[in-house]
Order: sequence, then structure tokens, then C-alpha cells
Amino acid sequence: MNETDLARVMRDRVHGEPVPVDRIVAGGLARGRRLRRRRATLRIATAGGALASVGAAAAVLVGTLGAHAAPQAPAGPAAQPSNTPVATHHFAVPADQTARTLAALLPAGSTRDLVNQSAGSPSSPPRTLSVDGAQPLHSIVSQASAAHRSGSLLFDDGHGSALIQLSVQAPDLRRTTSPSREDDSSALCQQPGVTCSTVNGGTLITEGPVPEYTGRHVPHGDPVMSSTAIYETDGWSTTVTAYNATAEKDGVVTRTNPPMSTGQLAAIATSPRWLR
Amino acid sequence: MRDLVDFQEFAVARTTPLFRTAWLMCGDAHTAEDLVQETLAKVYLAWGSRRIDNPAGYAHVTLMRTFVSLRRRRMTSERPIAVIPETSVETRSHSGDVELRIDLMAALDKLSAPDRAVLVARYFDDCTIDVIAAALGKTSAATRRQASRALERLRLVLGPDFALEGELR
Repeated sequence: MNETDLARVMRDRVHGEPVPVDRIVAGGLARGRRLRRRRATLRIATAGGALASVGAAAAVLVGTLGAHAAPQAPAGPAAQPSNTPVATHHFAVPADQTARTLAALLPAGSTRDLVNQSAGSPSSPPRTLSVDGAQPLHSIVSQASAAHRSGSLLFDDGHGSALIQLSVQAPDLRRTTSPSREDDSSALCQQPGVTCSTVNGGTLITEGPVPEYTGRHVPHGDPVMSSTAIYETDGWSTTVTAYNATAEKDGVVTRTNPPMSTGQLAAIATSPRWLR
Repeated sequence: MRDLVDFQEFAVARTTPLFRTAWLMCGDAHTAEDLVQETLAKVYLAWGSRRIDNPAGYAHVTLMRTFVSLRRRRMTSERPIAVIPETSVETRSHSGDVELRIDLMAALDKLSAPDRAVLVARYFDDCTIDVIAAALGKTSAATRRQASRALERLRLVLGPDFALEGELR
């Protein structure tokens, strides 16, 4: 066999294979949209962080200049400062309590089984918790990084176990070159299935329920997800996602839709339990 | 909206060749479908944000890079098995193309992801060594050596009767 034969055998091998063009294109497009949304979401968060840093720097600069300029200031009423310091959030939830706090905010009377609480390593050995008289929670508690808290748990309201994920993210101030927050936000909000509103000055983005991987070959069916994220003006963000399956990918689909509406998820995301 | 229509037209036109390339690289239809979807998603991500002079070439390069990257990541998730499935090497018939095709796919399956990507790009997609090198981020010389080694491994797996003649073009 020579190289020509190799090329011919390769062509012969695949040319008889049926190609599910429509399914592949639909799946690729769905994933592409999701990638675009995630990139836009990241830009919103980083742009918020950049705005916060610029605002803080401006406030410091104004204060410094004001102090130096005071001796030469003309007599008369003091000028009102044009810049006010930008409020910066801090984590309100302890690093090892993220998943437990998330469990406490879920609808009452349900069985909850904590399966993971991540962000960083090492993780602690599994331990059992109990929240509001619910059945014991089997938790893997781990450390959280300085800029991140996250928790995951399986939630069962009697209609099928479902994965719920929460993430609290500090602004990434290392990235300062981002398009404007408004541009990104408006682009993201024009995506199908995405709804945006303003809550306490922050941007609340909800999505779902939508298929997580449209058209992808999934052994147990297509996972469906609903998600809500609140982006604060200083770049902090809190995201809650609910699935109709036991895992984001390659899990078992247990129900038609996630167990909670986007409104319920929004209530969790905007809870004061995460940030102060 | 216009870029969505343009992308869909492009995707419909290029999915079949991408899928066939992916099929040869991955060895099965399901993984190939997943790979092409991942590729189209990445192309769509770039579609509206930058100028792509050669969309077909861009998609092909994206496919190759995604394949190598995914295979590298999935190496740790592959499970060892106690007994290696019987291959057709001992009983194959050299008379027909069917056996040859089966042997070839089995032989390709034994190569590393970069080796398969190089051979498929070179012989199925008829890419030049320079194009493959650029896609994989290597020098032309290194890619030529890799292709030669991949061919040599293919010879070893297929056996002396299927030895590839000639040098790499």
C-alpha cells in the first residue's frame, strides 16, 4: 500500500457514513451561543471590576490632591467632592459554609444531599450536616480561594434529584481592558432566552430553562438548566444554576425541568447571605 | 442577525467535510459529532468578533487543535482494561478493501492524537506540511518528522504486507 492507497482507504472509510448535518449545526450553534454568553458575562464582571478600581483610584486621587491643595485654597465655601468612594463588597459567607447556606435557602421540606463544595483545595473529609430538620446532608467541605466561593448540592423535592450550583466571585482587577459594561450587558441581554433587569443598581440576568447542550449526544438525555446571576456595580457577582439532572455534564436526567424557577433562583442570588 | 445567517450557511456547507475528518481522527461517529459541534461553537465565537479571511481553513485548524487538546485532557479519564480486545491482525484477509479499512482504522486508533491528526490532515485533507505545522503550532521540520514517525508506527501496526511505499511528500 502506498500513500495514494492510504488516502483512498481513508476516503472510502468515511464517505459511506451518514452525516447528521442539521443536528450537528444546531448543537454547534447552541454551544457557540453559550460560549458568547459566557464571554459576555465575564466581560461584564471584569468591566465592573475595572470601573470599581478606577473609581477607587479617582477617590484616592481627589483626596490626595485635596490635602495638598488645602493650604493654597482660596477663602470661601469648600467645594463639594465630585467623586464618592465606590462601595466594595466582601464575602458574607464563611468559606466552609457556602453549600450549607445554599441548602438553607432552598425550599423547605425537601431532601437535600450535599455532594460538593468547591473552589480550591485541599478538600476536607466528607461529613454529615443537617439543615432545618431536613434529612442529613453528606457534605464534602473544602476551602475557598480569596476571590471565590462556590457550593454544589443535589436537591430533591420529590420529583427527581437535581444539581444546584452557586458561585460568588470577586472582581478580577487584573483584567482592565474590557469593552464597556453597558455594551456587553446589552449584547448579552439580546440573546434568546435571556432576561435582564436592574436590582439595587446591579444587573440581574436570568436564563432558562434552556438545554445545556442542544443536539449533543448525551446517553441519558439533554440536561436542561436555569441560571440567575447578579452583577454588582463594583464587579462582584453571584450566580445560581439549577439543572434537571444530577450533573452538569454526563449526569442522569431525572426530570423535565430544573426544580426551581428563575425567580426562586434570583431570590437566592440576591440574598444578603453572600455579600456584605 | 446577519452574522448568524452567514454562520449557519457556512456551518451547513462545511459540516460534512469537518465530520469526515473528525470521524477519521476520533474513530467513531459520536465523538466525531461532539468534536465538530465544539469546533463550530468556537468558530461561531470568533465569527462576529474578528475578520476571518478563510472560514473553511479556520474551521479545519480549529478542529485539529480542539481534537488534540481534548484528547490530551481526556487521557487521564481513559480507563485501563484487563484484557485487550482481539484485533484482526492475525486473521485478516489481504484481498479486500473492507479488511484493509478495518485494519487501517484499528491502526489509526493505536496512534497518539497528534499523530492521527497529522496523518489525517496530510492524506485525507491533502494539507501541506506547512499548513499542518501552522495549525499545530510546530515548525515544518518537526511536523515532517512527526508525520514520518507516525507513518512508521502505522507500518508497524499494519504489518509488513501493508508497508507504505515511498517517502513523505
